[in-house]
Amino acid sequence: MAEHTSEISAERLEIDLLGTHVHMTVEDVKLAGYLEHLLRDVRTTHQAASAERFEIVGGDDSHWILRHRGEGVLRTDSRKRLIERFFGILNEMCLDNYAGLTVHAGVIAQGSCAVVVPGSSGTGKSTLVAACVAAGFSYVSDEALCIDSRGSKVVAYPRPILLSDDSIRLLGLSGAAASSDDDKTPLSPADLEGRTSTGPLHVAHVVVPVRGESLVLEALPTNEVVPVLLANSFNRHLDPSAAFNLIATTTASCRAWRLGYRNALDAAALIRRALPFSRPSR
Amino acid sequence: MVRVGALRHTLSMSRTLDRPALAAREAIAREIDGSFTIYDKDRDNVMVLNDSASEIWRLCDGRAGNEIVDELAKRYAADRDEIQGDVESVLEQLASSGLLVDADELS
Repeated sequence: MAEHTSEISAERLEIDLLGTHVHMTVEDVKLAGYLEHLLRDVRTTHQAASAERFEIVGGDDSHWILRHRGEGVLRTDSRKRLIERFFGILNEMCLDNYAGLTVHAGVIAQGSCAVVVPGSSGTGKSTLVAACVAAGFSYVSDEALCIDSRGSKVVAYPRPILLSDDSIRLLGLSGAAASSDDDKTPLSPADLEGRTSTGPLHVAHVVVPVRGESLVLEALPTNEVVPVLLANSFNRHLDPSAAFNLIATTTASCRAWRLGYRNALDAAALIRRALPFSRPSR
Repeated sequence: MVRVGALRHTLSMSRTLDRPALAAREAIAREIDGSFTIYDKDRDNVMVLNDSASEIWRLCDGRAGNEIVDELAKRYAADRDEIQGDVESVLEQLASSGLLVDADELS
């Protein structure tokens, strides 16, 4: 994967991610182009007075300074650290600002049918999500299932997918690994020859992953995923009863599965082959 | 903390079948695909009931445990003695998890 440089000046970026509006200015044109590529699916032309402001200055002498709300956050000569810090702040901000329920999970979709893979950090869900996107699913998020509390619909949170070098090699994206010394490399769905989901979404399947087991996809009683989703929620503590009701409503018509796997590519192929999408919701 | 479907069998708490069973006010029960999932607000626990436990829960509307046994025996044309043990076990577990109250105690 080569870095992308926009033909149009990309020093200013306006993005809208999970309802958080961000205004960025980036002096380093090459870096700006890279960020524009990563964030292309969440770019907006709308300018909001209440936007979160980021600046990345420098780059000529291989040092960058990251500023947030006018305050210096990081000075570094490592693009890895710069990008990680920026996306770390952005992620925390977006999830904190979101008014609905958020659950630690990877989410992909086929049409309006979302497939939710709950799990905390380090459980392999980003790699599994990336493998599913490469297998033809559309990308919703590698970090969070976001549920609108007003109507229990799924809201996409398509931040860049963060993958380790091992995962990049597994997915056959050796070009991406070669272009960076990052421990985690952010990728856009386009890097996986995939696309970000658009349009309304509902939870059609919840797939509980169990790594290290032989490849298998087994049906579960639907109500068994309710405590799993609750246990992985970022913000259910704000109103536990409402969180329970919202998850119960959101999953009422979905199918539940247990996925044993060792290899994410095999798992993605099994999910694509075995999950029913043509049937109407129960 | 959230527990997944653990129904502890507490021998120290016996619940005779002549006592009326009623869902506790702190219990939020949602039926999903025919089975109940119950959230205990006070203990911040989630309990997942299987199909047969869900049937028993549905009948915990203040009637006595013996009436629940009678109803299920009639419904499934089953021997009362076969059902009694299961009903007693489920009621004990629901009670020990704080999801049932004795309807008599409320009056």
